Amino acid sequence: MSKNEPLLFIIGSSHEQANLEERETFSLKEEEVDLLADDLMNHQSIDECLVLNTCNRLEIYAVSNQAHPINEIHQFICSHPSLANTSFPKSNFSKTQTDAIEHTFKLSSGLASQMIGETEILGQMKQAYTKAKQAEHTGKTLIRLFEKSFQAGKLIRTQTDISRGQVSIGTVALNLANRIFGKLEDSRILLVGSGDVSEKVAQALKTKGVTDITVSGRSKDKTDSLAEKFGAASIHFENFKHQIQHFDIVITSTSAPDCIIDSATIKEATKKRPNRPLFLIDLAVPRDIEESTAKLENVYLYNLDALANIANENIALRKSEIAKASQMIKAQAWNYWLQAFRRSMFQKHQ
Amino acid sequence: MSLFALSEKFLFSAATLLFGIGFLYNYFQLKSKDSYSHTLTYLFLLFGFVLQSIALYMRALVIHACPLGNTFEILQFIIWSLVLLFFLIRPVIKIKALGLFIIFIAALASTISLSIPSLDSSYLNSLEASDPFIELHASLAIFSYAIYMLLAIVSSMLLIQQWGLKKQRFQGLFRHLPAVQKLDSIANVLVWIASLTLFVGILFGSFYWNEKPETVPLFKLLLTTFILTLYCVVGVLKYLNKITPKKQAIAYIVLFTLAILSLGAVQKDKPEIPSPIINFESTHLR
Repeated sequence: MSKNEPLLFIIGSSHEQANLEERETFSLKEEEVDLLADDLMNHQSIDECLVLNTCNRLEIYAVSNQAHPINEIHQFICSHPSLANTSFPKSNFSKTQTDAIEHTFKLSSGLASQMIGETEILGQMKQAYTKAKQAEHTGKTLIRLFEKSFQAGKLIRTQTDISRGQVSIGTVALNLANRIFGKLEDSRILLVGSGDVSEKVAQALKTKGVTDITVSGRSKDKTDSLAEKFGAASIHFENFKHQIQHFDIVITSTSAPDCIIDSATIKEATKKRPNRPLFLIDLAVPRDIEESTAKLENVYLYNLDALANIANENIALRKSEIAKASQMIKAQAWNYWLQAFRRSMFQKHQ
Repeated sequence: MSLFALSEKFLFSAATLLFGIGFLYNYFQLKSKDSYSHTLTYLFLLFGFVLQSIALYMRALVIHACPLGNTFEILQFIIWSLVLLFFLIRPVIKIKALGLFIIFIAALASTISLSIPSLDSSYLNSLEASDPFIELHASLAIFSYAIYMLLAIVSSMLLIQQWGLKKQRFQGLFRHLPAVQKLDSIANVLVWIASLTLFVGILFGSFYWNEKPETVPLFKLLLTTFILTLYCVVGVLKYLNKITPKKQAIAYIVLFTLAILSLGAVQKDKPEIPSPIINFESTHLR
């Protein structure tokens, strides 16, 4: 490849490189993501860029004109103010060209997800792609890559059983709640924050007969709409900590930068209900509930990583489907690469 | 050849073997396939129970009373009562994996009782023992021990389930255990059923001891009453929300271990009444 040919590369970090504690450090806010993307676009080596920021990964897709070596760009990203003091510089991966294409296809088909086969990532990729396109950060390489990856994702999901029999976070939470409380009809749920995953968990619990749901959140509009959706009551965000003892299951998914529920609060709550266990589901990144809470008696704390690990325990059943999907991704990636190569050769000879 | 032609020791051993095979088969099924057969567990327990019943009946025919003369017989009678309890409560309360735990405990306790020959020592057969009050007292007391054993099993299941949830274990046995809350509720009921049974047992005994004060086994009575009181204290503390389900479960396991260990001491404290010596070394009925 000549020096001036565009180089597609990805620098990122996900659950594969960093654990939940490490990922918390580089969970960026929307404005930080925008700043990172803008700074990248201002770099003289980068022609196109897209930042994918989810609770499980931060990935920077970029196309370089190779004015500077890739190592320099890597260094530039890792020393960016939003990432320099995080775990990102020491727990990241980088992929170029066909490897980058294969990774993007793998991601869109759910194969690179923490819960293999999940579909949420496709929506998150589409969102990041739309945003980058609107900001005019994408060019023909990234546009083609993402359009093709969406097609590949759909194809793999329809031609393999990768998403079939997949255990969702909601199902895992439901099973755990069953192991703790048995009958769930009498259980009381408190939803703190209004994340998508927590909504799904609450929905799963509701299908099993839970009727007593209460929501609490910083944004009154979001809280009210969630309360309306579940036919739930709502309590002020400032007050919810004093009410925890009245609930059996507490699901948190706020975007707070630090823990909002500490061990002392839960200890106090359990003292008032020594006979009933307390099931805490922390779906936020960074986490909402202090880790040491898990050590308290009669308290069961599960975070996103723990739930995903349990959900993936049935993965053995889908191993053949995963192998089949991986083969298809490889073929798709090569096919795409050859097309792109032919196109660039044709343009060169014109 | 009828089953009665066999020695009762052989029947006890055969029952133990059935419990053991039943447990091991299900254990390996659980390990390899993540599931086990409830029907097979039930069948192994049933056949073991039948053999054990015949063996106990053979001993009862010899002494014309409940065979509770030595630690071996008491242990066998408790195991027999435990399995009977399982059959009785199974249709009413569904406790997942209880059969697996019962068959394990039955195999383990029966193996221990058979492997220590001194437990089945010769004993004095008190002729007064055929008094209906003392017989009712003995059988009720032993049956209450079986309920306490069931309580210890339920408590162990609760502790295992809690540990599994804390350590985030989802597969194997953990998947088959009942909910923590359910096990806690069952334990709360069992402690009072067992304590009431033991109390009634002691009450019937007192009718007999009232007539013959010289036969009062003072140490045995004090020890049993002490254990009964401890169980009641834990039950009350739990009722008053003063202890957590985990502490309650640990207390019940410790108390049952104490109760079983005290059996030896109780056996030594028998009143000395001139009676024929019963030796089961060669007992078999034809």
